[in-house]
Amino acid sequence: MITEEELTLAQEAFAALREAIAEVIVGQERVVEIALWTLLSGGHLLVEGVPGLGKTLLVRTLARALGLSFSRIQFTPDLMPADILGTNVFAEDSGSFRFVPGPIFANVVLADEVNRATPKTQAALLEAMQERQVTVGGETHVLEEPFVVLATQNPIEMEGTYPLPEAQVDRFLFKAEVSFPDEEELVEIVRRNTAGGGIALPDPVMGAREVLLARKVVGAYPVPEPLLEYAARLVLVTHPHHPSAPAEVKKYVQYGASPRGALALVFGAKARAFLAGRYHVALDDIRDVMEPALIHRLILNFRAEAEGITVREILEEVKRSVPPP
Amino acid sequence: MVVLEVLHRTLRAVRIYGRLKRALRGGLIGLAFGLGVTFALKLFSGTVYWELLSLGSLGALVGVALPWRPARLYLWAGRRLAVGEGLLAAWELLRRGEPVLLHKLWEKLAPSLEPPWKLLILQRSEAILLGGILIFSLSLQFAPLLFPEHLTSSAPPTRTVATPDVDRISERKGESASAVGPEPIRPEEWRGEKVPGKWPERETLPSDFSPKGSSSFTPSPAEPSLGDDTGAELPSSSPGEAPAETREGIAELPTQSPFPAAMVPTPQKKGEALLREVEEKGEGEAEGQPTSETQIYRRGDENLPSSPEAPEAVPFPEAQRAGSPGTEELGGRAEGEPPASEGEGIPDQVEPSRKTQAQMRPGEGPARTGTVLSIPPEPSGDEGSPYIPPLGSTGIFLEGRDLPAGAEEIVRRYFSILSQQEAK
Repeated sequence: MITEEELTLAQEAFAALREAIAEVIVGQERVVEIALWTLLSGGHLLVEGVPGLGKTLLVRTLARALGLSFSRIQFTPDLMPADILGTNVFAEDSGSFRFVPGPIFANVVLADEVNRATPKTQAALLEAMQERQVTVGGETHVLEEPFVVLATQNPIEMEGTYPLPEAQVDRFLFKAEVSFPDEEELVEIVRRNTAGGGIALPDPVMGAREVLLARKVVGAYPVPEPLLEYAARLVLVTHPHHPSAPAEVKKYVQYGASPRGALALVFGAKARAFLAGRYHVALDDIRDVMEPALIHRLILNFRAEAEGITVREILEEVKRSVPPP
Repeated sequence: MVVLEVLHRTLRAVRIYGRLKRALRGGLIGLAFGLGVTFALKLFSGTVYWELLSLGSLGALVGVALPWRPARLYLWAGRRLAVGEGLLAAWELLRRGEPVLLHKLWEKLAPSLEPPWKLLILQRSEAILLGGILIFSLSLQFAPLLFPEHLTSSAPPTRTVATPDVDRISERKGESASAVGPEPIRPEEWRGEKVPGKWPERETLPSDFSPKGSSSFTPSPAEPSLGDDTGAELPSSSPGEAPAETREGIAELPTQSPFPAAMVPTPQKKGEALLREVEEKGEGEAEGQPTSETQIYRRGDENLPSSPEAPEAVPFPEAQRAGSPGTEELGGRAEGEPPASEGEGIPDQVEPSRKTQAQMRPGEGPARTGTVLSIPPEPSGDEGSPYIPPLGSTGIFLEGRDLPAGAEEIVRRYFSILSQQEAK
């Protein structure tokens, strides 16, 4: 049971956070929104976009405004798991091995161009993301909450990259695609960055306590049973072998969304309702969250690639095929 | 606490009105189903089972009794009451015991929450269903008009026309008519013969007397129509020689003749017309017919043999024809002058008055009704087989002839011998 003070504090903190981010990031409201859903849901975010769109700036701004510890890992092909997780170092003074934590030990981790690391290193990161703990030398180290990984990947320049396996992509709660800014936004970006003195990051407006409090409030939001059933149906019909799957799914989808997709739908719907200032989850919350929650969980077949079918089109068809409760 | 009380009251009202709405919807569906079955039975069996409409009440009972998940009820009610999923969320928060969130939620929902009775307002689909039920009901109500029996009946419709002549005469004569009886006006040749004691109440109207057949002339508005006046049936008798009671009856009749005076042939003109007609038919044709014994009555395109006793058309008396509107409508022609055009000629529809004794002969259909029946003529040598009635039906031809007792037996034996010869 939450109290009125907790509810008010959480609402005020996230309102301030949104204002702080808006002072730095021009446009990209949708990406910021999805990032906040991720933060409130306790998941991780995969951000995809071409270089220069402000992905790294967004993550840095978020971490700074949150007042949380922040670390950035630039993924390269020669990056080793120990470079991320940490390693045991022999200490001459004590004559024993001492664990030196890696950059994964932070509240907000930016895994930049995560698809450039080898699968071994990717697997080490993704295991830490899922388990929220790191085991090195037989010793387990728990990651501090809140723990959020914001990974970016570049959809172009795929040469020399290691695309993330589907099982590992599934561990990201949402996927946000950073779009190119329009003219007005681009003018504002240029004006802010050329004014001299560089980009001023915001001051912290909240801390880890407020983040965890907000997660508690969002978790108390009711999701009625008909909406849960609707979210489950949305996920089920993405499977081509499901009897209710639409024709496009049966034709173009190789693998459907996992149960994590349903969790993402409900978590995101709650977070969206909270950020919208409502106290209950609506059907529109689920429908709006559907794309960032499922877009990286569907695997299309070769026929879809040959015909230029995108996952977004499939999701729209899924949304049309499932009647609302 | 106030919020909780209001919420409880609202949820209770929603449950009640939700049940009522389900009863209404179930009743509509049941009624529509019952009407559909009734309509189908009406189509296939022709019987309307209105008892099937009780399925409406059964549907209402089922609608009330069917279990309804509270989550579904509140979700449906919230959408109908303009709060979306809010009512369902409130019920969920109430169930989970989250007073802070519930209070905040209710503060937002209450201003926009519609009164729960609006749940009873019909939706579009229900209105369409109700309209369909009304249309079905009306179609069933007026089903006899849509599906008349004569369209489905295999028997052809019989056309019978009442003979108002005798009835009206009887009515106008009052007691005297009943004392005299419905004796028809007979031609002079038939005087002394006994008419059948009972007039046929109805008889088939001869086709020549149908309004279509008499469309060659248009009676004036003052003139009664053919079927309305007894004068149309009584032109062949001589009122001066009719019984006194009959003359009284005729005197009470309207003085207007249904036919123009020129259209009523006098005996002389009728005889001349028939003579010309026979002469036009040629000698060859005339030789084969017993002209001395048989008169040819032209009735449309049909030549019917008749006995010598068949009466001629006898005009109305001069007193009746004088000053009749029909005379005024002659267009300047002299009375008795033959009409100039074919449409104004002697009406072929004029028929001997003996047609009232017409009876259907064996083997003849209703198309021959109205023909003059009489004793068939003698076979004239090689004219082919004459019509020999069955022995059992000889009485039909003897009925009403008022023959002497011995003569009737002779006639019977005569036909018996003829039948035996034919059988051989």
